[in-house]
Amino acid sequence: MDHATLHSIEMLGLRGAFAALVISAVLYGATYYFRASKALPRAGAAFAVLSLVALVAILFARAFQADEVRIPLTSLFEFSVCFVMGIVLAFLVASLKWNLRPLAPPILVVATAVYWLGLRGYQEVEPTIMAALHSYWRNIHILTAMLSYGPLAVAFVTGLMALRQYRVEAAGKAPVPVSDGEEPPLTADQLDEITYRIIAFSFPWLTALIVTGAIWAESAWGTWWAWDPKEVWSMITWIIYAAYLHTRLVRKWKGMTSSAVAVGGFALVLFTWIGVNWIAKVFKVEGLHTYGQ
Amino acid sequence: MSPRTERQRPSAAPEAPDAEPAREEATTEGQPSFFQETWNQLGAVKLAITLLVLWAAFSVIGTLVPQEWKYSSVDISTKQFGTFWGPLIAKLRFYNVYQSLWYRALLILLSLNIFVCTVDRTRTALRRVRRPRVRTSVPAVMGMRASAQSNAKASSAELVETMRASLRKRGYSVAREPHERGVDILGRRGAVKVLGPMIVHISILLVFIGAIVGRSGLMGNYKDFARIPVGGVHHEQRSDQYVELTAFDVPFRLEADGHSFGMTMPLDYTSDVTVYDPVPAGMGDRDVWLYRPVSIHSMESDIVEPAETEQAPAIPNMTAERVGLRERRKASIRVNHPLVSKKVGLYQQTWGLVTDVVATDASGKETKTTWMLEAGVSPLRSAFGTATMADGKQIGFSLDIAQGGDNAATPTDNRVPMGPSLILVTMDGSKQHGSPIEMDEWLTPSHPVKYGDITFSIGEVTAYTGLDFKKDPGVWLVMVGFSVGALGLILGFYVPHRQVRVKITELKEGGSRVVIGADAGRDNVEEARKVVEGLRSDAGLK
Repeated sequence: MDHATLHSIEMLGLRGAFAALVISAVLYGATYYFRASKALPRAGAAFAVLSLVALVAILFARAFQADEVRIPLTSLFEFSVCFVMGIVLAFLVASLKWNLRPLAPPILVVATAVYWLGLRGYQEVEPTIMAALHSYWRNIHILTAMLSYGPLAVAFVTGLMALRQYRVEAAGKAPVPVSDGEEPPLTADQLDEITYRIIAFSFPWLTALIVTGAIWAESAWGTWWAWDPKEVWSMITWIIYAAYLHTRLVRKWKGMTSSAVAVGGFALVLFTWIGVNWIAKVFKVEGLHTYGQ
Repeated sequence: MSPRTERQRPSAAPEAPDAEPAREEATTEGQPSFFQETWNQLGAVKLAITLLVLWAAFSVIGTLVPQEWKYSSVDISTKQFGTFWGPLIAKLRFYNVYQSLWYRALLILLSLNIFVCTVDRTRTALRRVRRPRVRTSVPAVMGMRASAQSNAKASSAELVETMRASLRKRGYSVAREPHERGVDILGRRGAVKVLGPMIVHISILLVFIGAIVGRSGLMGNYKDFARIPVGGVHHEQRSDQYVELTAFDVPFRLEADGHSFGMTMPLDYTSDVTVYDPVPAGMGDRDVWLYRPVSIHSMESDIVEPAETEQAPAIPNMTAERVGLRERRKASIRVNHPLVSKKVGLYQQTWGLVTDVVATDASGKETKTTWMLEAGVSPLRSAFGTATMADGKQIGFSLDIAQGGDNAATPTDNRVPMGPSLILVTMDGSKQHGSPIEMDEWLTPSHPVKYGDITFSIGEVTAYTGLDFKKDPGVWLVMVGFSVGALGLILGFYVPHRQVRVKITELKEGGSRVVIGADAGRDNVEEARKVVEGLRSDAGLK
């Protein structure tokens, strides 16, 4: 395939992914008004799957546009594509286990927002990449990021909904009436439990993200930890989620407190992803991880 | 509902099988001793959470304040950060947060917390794994995720054997405990899960210890750097080995058609090295001259030229010693593919070019300077060489890398050809006067550049490699910690813990009452139901 065709595929994928995410969110959102409909959530799921196909097409097209074929995981935009894939995959898998249909619109909005942020950093494919990026650890490192950040985004939404539901329940408001055949909405405790389950899945991958980065740094630079701002912020994110898991052991801190920590943890995920670059510019703190820009 | 359409509704039940094993409380009567109380507080979960949050908060500081020693000066710090933050940053060592005393104290306290927690809870966890509590009650069994009870005509002894066989068939390990009217049976899968958190804690301690061993300087860790030109030999003093750069492969083209050239960023670059051990001169594969400066204030030198003659080339302020070299190994070093030799890692860090730039004035007088271009793009020399034109005007000259240009090869997309080009400035005494004079042409070995009556030419371009030499005796412990941590995480988070409890009670009227309960991971009700139904079916229970 020539460059022009690959570029066309990439552009189609770019627009298609965005459109599919938005349409999926709208279809799921419509189920608020047509609760008995089974077609709407199915259509929403179909468009979510379509967005995954489009995202894969973007990566495929970019993989072949470089001077040498490589998995395109070296720039902010390319990572954002993986990030969004992780969110959508996590949502679809979690939906098989729990009734996350009411949470689908905010989850897909988060995915769309991440995608939009990544689009702002869009760059054409670099023909060559620096030598330090020529490592299979790069691909493993990014894969662990996808498997951790994606589900954490879903946990962010479920945690947020749990906090909201705790306030509703505390105010003593009557639950929304449910029609025949419809599943009752999840309670605050159930949402809190789902948040925990998702974070419990993600946490080992978040650890693997740091570990694979350290192993890669050791082979590339001879230093497994350099107190680089990116490394430190990923460590901070890990620490906060570790603290979250410990809050589950303290009876009084389960529930609202642990949900609040889960929500705050995702803010750190976003900051580690894009905020660190901003810090480097504003505070002029140098780091080793500037290749992603 | 079929399993596929039945959604799991997560219960908010206490996490009985997965919860962290409780600590053993003091068994002595009365108030715990001061030591016991302190020990309990040190291992408390709330302390762990507090320390983790503090650790995160303090770590942020080092990402906002440039970690540079110059800010240890209150004056410099104040100038940079203002009258409030400047002195604070200098006095609290925010310019070197991660090596500061208070940051390390926090990590020590956290390590103590992890240690105490691990010691406390591991014993309980091991007991839960090796000697679980088998005895149970009917309400406890009926409270499990799935349960059923029925009467059977068979005796308790027959039922026990049937249940044991059935559980073993499903991969459960079985324990039983008889009581006065029957037998309690416990079947488990994945019980080692409870050890997961403790293993993760141990791995964190291993990583911390590895970091201390590797960074403290107590075990001989060090970091060094050397630039070795092609054909040159570097003496790595601390490990007493010699590294020769025999070839350096950079996809770098300086001459294309004699007038223009392109220089692409190297995809990768390789240093072919030969590593030698020192032996007495004449006893090895070759000899080199080892130079040491005569001044006691200088660092020892590396050298090195492979000597062809018996006489050492004269170098001012240096003494020479002839050293024999015996080849130990040959290797290629690339980024991400270091060489480890004598427990020292040799890492491809950078590369560069060395060349002479010669300015020849109208009278034929030559002024030569040597330039090193790090990574082919950044001159390491910042001073200008000077030449004098016929009219007395002083011209400063230096080498730089320019992009594009009239002689450039056609770029494709983002690829911009680069090449060495001259920067010329008018000098006023020793200072630069005015802006640099831009030269469009690139300077190549076959293409000298003329400015006025001065001709600038470039000599032979030699490549050099920049290698890091690093010894970290703690890194193996860190990697062990990572591996142990991976095991702990898999055990703690991905191994489902399944339990089946069977309470068989003999009835006065004959036969037995059988109560079966099962848990199959958090909220996996369907799986638990299948196990219960399977056991009932195997035992012929209705």
